[in-house]
Amino acid sequence: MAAELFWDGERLGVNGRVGGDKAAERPGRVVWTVRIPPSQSGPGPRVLALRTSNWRGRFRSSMFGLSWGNASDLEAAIRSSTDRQLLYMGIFLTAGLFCLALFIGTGRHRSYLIFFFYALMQFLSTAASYAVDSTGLTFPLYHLLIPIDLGWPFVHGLFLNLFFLFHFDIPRKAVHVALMGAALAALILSGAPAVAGNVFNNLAMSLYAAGLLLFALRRKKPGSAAAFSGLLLLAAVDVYTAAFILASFPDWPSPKFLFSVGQGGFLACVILAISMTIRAQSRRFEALRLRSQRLENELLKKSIQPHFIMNTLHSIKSWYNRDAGQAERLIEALAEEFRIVNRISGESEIPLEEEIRLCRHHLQLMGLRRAARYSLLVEGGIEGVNVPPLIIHTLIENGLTHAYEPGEDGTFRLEVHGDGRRLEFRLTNDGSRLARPEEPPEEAAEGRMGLKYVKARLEESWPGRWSLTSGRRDGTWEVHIVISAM
Amino acid sequence: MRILIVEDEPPIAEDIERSVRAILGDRVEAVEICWTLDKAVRRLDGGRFDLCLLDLNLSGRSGFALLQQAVSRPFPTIIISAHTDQALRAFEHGVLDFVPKPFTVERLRKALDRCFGRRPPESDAAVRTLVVRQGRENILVPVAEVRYFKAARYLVEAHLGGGRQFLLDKPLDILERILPPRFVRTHRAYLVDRNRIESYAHRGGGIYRLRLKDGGELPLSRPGRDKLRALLQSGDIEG
Repeated sequence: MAAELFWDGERLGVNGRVGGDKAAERPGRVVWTVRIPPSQSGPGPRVLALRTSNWRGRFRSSMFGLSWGNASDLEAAIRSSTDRQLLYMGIFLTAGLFCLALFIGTGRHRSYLIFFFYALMQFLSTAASYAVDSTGLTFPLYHLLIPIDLGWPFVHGLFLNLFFLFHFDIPRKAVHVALMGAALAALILSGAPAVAGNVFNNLAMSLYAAGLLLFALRRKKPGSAAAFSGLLLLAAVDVYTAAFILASFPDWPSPKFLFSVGQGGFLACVILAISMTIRAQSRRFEALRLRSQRLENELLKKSIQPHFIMNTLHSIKSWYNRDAGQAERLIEALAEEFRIVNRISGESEIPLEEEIRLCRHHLQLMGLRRAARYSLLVEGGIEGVNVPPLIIHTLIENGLTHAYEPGEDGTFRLEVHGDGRRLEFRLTNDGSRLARPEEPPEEAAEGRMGLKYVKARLEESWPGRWSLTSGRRDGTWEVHIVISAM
Repeated sequence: MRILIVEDEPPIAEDIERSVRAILGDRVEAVEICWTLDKAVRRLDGGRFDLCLLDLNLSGRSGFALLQQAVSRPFPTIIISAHTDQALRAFEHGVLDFVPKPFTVERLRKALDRCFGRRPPESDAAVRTLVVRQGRENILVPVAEVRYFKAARYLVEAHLGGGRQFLLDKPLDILERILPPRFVRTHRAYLVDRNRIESYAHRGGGIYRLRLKDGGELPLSRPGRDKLRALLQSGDIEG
């Protein structure tokens, strides 16, 4: 825009050079103030004339706003507006950098990066307004800011909703993004006037955000209540602003002030929501850590139960009096079993081969204790297959306890099938007791404890993706574990 | 002596038998070994034994059902087990002793002495519950409710408060060894909770009578009177 201002016929100010065409025009500042000297502003009829050209305006139709009044009042109004802009810039920049730090520092959650961009764009868009209002930028620079100033209000709602989508891990993200994108595209293509389009866009995106947050609330996502409160605060401010404009009561508090309260409050709510999510995450992590510690404890307790050791020691003593060689073999099997247990106790998964080695030592030990021969046959590929420690061992121990009479020989059979999508273990025993239908399986507390341990381990390694069934089949007792792919 | 060993690990069962024979020598008439619970239950029903040596937790099953069966028989039961955490509960059910595994012959000898010799029970490890067989059922009778025991032919009557009675298949001699020391043999045929005794009196002609606090009167033998007198002097019961 270029303009010349005349007061009672006298040219008081020039902004750029007014021209008859784009080439002749030299744009001036966007915001331009002209002081009328006190000698010329006394009472009486006055004539104000403006000579302007606006070949480079944002819209062909739009001209510019004109306000007049006491010079100090006008300057104060501009200052209060720029002060507010500086405040916003500070808030958004801080919030954005905070989220960027979170993104880098806490395992690169996409939602933090999205919120960083959101805050950054809010900062830039406010900075653009500030630059215009405070320095009255000249045209070439101002033109560069137009896309931010024009486009940002349209997409900021979309960014916010993206943040909610990822932060509360709402399912079917692609569908939501496509829906919002399509709505935005339709709005832009419809050619609605900027202001009306923006209002409509804001309303639509806010409603969409409300829907997403209600979903998160129903799923009891941590922080969703805080985020929803923030959104309600923004909506309340919007409603008030609309009412203020429509009703135009001059004695109502200015919505500009409330707008800052709304924005600040909303940001505070979002940061609260983020911190609650982080707290929930650290709690979940702590719970997981505790659970695996508990499992490790249980593993050690299971394998070094006093009665197991005492009975084995007594067995060794008994053999010693009868056949020292057998006593030695029993000691070796016990030592080897403990060596392996010691090696694997801290692991959450071990190679299946190691587990099978452990089982075989245990079977040798128990065979010597119960004057029987036990063996474990393995079918299927076991290379590269990992299992939580002591799960096959525990199932075999249950089988030994419940399926066989003392002195009765036994064969365990482990079939392993894995095809990348599905891993299957089938463990059977041929014990005479379980094949008899009247024998209640797993009746003892120890058997149930063992099974509980196995299930807890499966859940730790393959949460929600495993199944364990057991029952009689063709005169044998079978435990069937299936793990499915993600 | 006929001895029943219930133990599900054959090498240990053999070891127990060997130890028992070493301790009791020629006094052992027969030793029978049961590896399984079912067989043990059958043998307890049919056989006549002088002692049962019982392992808790046979084949992963809690031995307390079997223990209740065993302690309801006339003969004493000694537990040989690695589950030392269950010792107190076993004593409360009326076992004579609890020998932890692995045991030494000396420890087993002590237990057998308690059974066949005359070794008083330790007060903190005395029976608190008596198991009474009624038909196929085992009824648990708290010792605290028993006023006195009375020998009746081959069985023993347990007299409880409120006039209730139960018949026990266990001689007074063995009961005396497993019950808390407050049960005093006041007569060849009576074992009385001394805390329930109110007074005793000489009725002339060497006949003594015992009065209980709740009103009953029981015969009292001369040795029984002497025992009560000694207790009175030590201040344990009031006159």
